[in-house]
Amino acid sequence: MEQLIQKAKDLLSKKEVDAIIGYCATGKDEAKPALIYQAEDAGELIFNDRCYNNLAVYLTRKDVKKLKKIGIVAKGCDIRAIVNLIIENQIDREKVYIIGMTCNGVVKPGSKYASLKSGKCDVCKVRNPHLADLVIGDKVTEQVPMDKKIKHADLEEFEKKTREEKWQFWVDQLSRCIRCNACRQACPMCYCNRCIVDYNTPQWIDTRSNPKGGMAWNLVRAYHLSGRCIDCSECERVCPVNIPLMLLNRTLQEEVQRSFDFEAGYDLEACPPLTVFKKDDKENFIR
Amino acid sequence: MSDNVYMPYLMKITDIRDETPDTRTYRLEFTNPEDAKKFTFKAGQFGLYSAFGGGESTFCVASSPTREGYIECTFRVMGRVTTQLRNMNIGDIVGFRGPYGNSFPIEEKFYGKNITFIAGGIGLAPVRCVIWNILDLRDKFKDVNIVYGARTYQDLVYKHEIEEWEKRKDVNLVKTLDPGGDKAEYGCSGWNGKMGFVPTVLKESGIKGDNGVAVVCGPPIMIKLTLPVLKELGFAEENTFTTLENKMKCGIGKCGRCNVGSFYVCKHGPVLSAAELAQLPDEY
Amino acid sequence: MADVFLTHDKARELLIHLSANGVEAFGPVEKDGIHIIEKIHEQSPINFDYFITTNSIKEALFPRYEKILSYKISQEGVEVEDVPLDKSIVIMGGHPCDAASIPLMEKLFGWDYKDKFFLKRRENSVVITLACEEADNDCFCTSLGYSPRGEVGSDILLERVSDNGWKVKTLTDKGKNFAKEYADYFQSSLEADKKYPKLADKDVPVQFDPKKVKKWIDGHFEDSLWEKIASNCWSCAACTYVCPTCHCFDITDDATMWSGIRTKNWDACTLPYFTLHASMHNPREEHFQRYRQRINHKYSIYVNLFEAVSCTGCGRCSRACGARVNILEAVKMIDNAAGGK
Repeated sequence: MEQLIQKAKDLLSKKEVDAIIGYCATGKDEAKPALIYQAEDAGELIFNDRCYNNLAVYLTRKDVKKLKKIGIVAKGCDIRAIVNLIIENQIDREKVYIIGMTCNGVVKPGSKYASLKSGKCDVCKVRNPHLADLVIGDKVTEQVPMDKKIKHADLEEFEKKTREEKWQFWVDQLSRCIRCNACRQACPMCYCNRCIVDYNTPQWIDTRSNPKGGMAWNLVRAYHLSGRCIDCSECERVCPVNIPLMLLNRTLQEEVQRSFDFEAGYDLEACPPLTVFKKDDKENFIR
Repeated sequence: MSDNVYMPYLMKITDIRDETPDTRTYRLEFTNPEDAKKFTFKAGQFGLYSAFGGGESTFCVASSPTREGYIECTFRVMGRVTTQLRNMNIGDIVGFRGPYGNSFPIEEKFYGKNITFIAGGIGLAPVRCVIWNILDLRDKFKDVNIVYGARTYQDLVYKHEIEEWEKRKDVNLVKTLDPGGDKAEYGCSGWNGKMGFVPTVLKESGIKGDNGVAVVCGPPIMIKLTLPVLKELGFAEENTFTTLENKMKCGIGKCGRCNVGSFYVCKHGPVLSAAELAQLPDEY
Repeated sequence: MADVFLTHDKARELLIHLSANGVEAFGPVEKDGIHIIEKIHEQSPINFDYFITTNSIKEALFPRYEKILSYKISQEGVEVEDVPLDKSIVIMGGHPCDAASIPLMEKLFGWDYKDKFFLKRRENSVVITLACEEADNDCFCTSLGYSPRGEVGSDILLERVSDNGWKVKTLTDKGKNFAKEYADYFQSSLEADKKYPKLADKDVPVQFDPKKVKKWIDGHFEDSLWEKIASNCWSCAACTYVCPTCHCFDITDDATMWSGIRTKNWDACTLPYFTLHASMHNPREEHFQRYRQRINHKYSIYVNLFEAVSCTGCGRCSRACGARVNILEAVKMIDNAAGGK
């Protein structure tokens, strides 16, 4: 913590960054995102196992984008988001100072602090930051080696269902959606200037919180994230009605992994397969 | 009468005029003669026009209350509703809810005064309603000035009426195009008006604010630049009126999106004086 | 009058009975670890053991989307049809902070033009409220003059006397008639457990003065504090959709070529496109401007229009916020900024 605060102070006072996105304490033994602009406020910064927010989401917020250089406190999962944002030309690597934090996982499922029911940390391969300007914290043991393909237990379980059961499951879950857009706004990969639901000529997606709208919205969002989702589980955590959105995302992630042997957010040189065109694509409809 | 405040009147399109490539005027008449008999409105009020299947959209009533039996609206094609409205024909049915909002204080503040209208682009629509209201009761007012400008010749709306006003001896009309707006590609040949932005043209027009009332309507930037000019010309802030345009859905003070601070454009507006406007937070 | 009691089991039976008999019954159900108020049907997992439901009882009186008219389009023209609102409604499971929102919303929906969709539903409904037995750090009803055992807006107040039942307090004629009509479900005695009531007004301390807050807001529309308050807001609508008093909505059509319906749907001032003009001009471009609108609307605008703060201190918005924007903290920051008096 000392080192984090000191570094933040340095960066801000030497004007190497205009602001630092980090965590600060709430009054309740929790952590919340904080944008620190002044060196004297850097003392508020904390880092602990309640720092579950993926701060990369703020990098594409209008006011933050206007800043010349920004510092960000980032766990491995946040860095996966940053990697993808760089690949997709949303941010400049030069404009971001990444303070990487080693991490043993944030609060566990069942904790009273957050309902992380799919346990985002179970499948983490980046407890040690894989892209950073500075790493803070002792090196920790990785629980999953980088080259190991992992499948989440929830998905294994879900795949045992029949087609009809799967469909019914999603109809039930998605009709609960209140269309608050928390999933979209919390998602670092959902940065579109104008989201497809905000278009009305034509109106592709029903904006109502009805079964039709809930289904259309969540499926379209999941599709748009396929091969881009970096597994931070923020959408699921912030969903006020607890829809297991990661199950949906992981279903598509699994598909992408199977078809393209790709996982998002690890490699600065590897583009998400659905965002690039290759002449040697194995599907001939695209050629 | 229904107790459902969201129930629209049904109106038939009886006349269509294409003002510009993307702006249209419809004349609408009530399908139910009973509705027509009961219906009244005042200059400055607005309504929600619906294309069934598309939704509702908010525009002012662009015709004068002195012309009874119909209303007119002028709209630009921008989104889902206006696109669908644009595709309609004579005889088609549109919905209308209204009239809503306050109005210009014509009897209270305009009678016996010199009236100056300043409008830009499609902002002439709400002003046109007042212009005809005043011209139809011409002897109650002193001088009538109209300063109207648009970006290009093509963007001038109500071209026929501009000609008509120009010909009238009891109206002083100044028309202008933004620099470069008189090119042939905008359908312009031999422009006989001014060239320049509305605030500048107004400043040089010789119009004086003594015993005067001004009505300003147009894009936000034009309004912002015109108000100081009016002040300079001697128009009192209490006698300078404009209409605020904000996104609306219900038109009746419920849906919560048109407010500027505690000022609900749909209920307290849309008409307000420059003095009132100066009191509002800068969020419109 | 003799005391009347209701057990959880009987309450569950009653709600299911009502829903089977043409009444729109709303109650608390447990789903995937959260409690939400929703329309009850035969299989609903009704459960009364919760601190507070995620959503508010707003669902029942101002549904997420609601048909306001329907129409048929033919060669001859258009035929528009009104929507009848004659169903009885019973809402059980909200807390006093839910019920207190009803008189607040009534002011808005009855302001000049009468929105029958809210008002008629209100008229047709019996509101059965559960007095609070728990409060957390996000609760602040007492700061706004309400109480965890408050009666505002309720027809019946249920005060817990044991792990499985409540003492019934009928507050209005509507409540009395309801208790009479369904007397079979109520009982005249129930063994009380000394641990109840667990919560009194003093357990939810008063933390700010709404008058002072309003005064500050009125003089500080432009103030850097707003940016600080909302610095981590990412502009979703979770706070407004779980709020019992947020009432903004959109109106949209859902139609085929020849018929359609028009609906009123929840919308929120915190969403980026809420105020976007067709010209792409947006009066509230930045996240903090939108959050300012939310606080301003509740603590100042509503007071100017209806002489009441449009917040009941339930704290749902704070609990629902994934970015941990906290309304109590926000209002306390304003209260602090306002200084002594």
